[in-house]
Amino acid sequence: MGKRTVLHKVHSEEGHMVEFAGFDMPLFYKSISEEVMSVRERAGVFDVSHMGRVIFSGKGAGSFLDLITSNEISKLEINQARYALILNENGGIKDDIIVVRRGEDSFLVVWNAANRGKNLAWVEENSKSFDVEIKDISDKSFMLALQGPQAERILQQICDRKLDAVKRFRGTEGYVKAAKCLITRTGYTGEDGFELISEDTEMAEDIWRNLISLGASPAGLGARDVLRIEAGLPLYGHEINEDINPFEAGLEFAVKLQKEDFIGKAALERLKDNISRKRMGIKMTGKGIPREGYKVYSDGKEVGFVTSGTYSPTINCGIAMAYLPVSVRVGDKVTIRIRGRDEEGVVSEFPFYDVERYGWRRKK
Amino acid sequence: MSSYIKVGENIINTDFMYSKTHEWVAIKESPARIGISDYAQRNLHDLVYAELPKVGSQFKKGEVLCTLESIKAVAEVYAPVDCTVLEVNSALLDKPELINKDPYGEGWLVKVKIEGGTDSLMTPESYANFIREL
Repeated sequence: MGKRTVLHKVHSEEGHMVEFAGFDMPLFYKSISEEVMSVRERAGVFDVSHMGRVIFSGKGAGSFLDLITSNEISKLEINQARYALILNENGGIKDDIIVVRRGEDSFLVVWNAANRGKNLAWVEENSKSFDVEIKDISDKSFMLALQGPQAERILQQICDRKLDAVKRFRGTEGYVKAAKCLITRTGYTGEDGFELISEDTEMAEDIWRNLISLGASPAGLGARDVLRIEAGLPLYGHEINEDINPFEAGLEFAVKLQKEDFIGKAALERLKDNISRKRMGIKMTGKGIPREGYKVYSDGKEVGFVTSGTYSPTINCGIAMAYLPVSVRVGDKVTIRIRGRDEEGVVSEFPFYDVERYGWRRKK
Repeated sequence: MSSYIKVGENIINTDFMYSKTHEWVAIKESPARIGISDYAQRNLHDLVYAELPKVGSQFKKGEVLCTLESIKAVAEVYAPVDCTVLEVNSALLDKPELINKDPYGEGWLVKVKIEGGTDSLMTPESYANFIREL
């Protein structure tokens, strides 16, 4: 039996449970495809309390986060959020994270559940010469993600802050019902939406039930994975790991090489114009559904492998992320070997869906 | 009219015989239809792709007969008896969800000629006991 989030009782009564990163989590409630479409067309709510939440505070917190991440953290405004990478000395990705500046000397970092122990050891080991206090609040807080075009309308009904003033990758402190929350306009689905973090854990179930009665569908990790693949977002352990660098992963936007110094910088300067493979999308035109580990061929030659694959209920075909040679271009035809047969696909950009119709940039 | 046994929310059609890997065989029919049980379709929920065998192909009991894919998983359907495939349910190529909607009817997978014995199959009552224990 795995660890439990504060919403475990609700999930085990209503969801189909699986173990993920050491936690008992809901894979789905009714149906993965219905949960995916709820998020794309209305709103869905996910319990993501298994993720790591760590507060970095003190005079040296900003400069410490500048050292251990690839992005510019000390330049964030208060209530601004940013995607960043923790790298090893070789420029490999230890994890991808979201950092939110809560105050002049206080930052909240959200990282992957699977990396909680590893990351905590890494930041403690590297922070000895910094004036920074590191406090893991994961086990005494909860985190919900409310995602989809109706997220703002739904959350506004139980929140005391004007949410239309909270722009993408910005946040605010406020009350959701009686829980004091950090509310950020962030997510992992490609859709507009919010993430709530609160230490008022006794309020978690009430908020969860309120969001559902206001029109959000409960959604599990199955839908969360499909949504992030459709949006072209990487997941640690699949698209990214310690042997893959940010340029290969297509995450150069989160790397600021002009920054004075950070762990992995020297290696990245060497790797920058020197990569041979890149993370790309493949949309299936043939039958079958690509899965992690399947091999990709071009003109009969093996050229790469699938890191994540699924059927996409949004665009109704198989989709995959894969590492392919940099010479491969969007629009090129490739095949994926599925149970001994070579099925056709076309190399695609991210996200896989039509951005005028789905996702946070959609036409209102 | 078919009659059914219920085990929890799972329905078992009493006209068919069952395997431990949750396939059903309509042994009274000729050719005999094969499909997956209601219990199996619930566990595979959200089927989005069915890969069916070629007509004429032969299978030994326990060999992979079909592959079914849900959004997040791949599942193999095993031949519940030695058989030769005489017909496949081509409606599933466009509508694999028929297996979820009607596992004992429109969601049948293949029609076969049974080539050997059927002694290893369970009666509906023994299959009901079998899934009660799972």
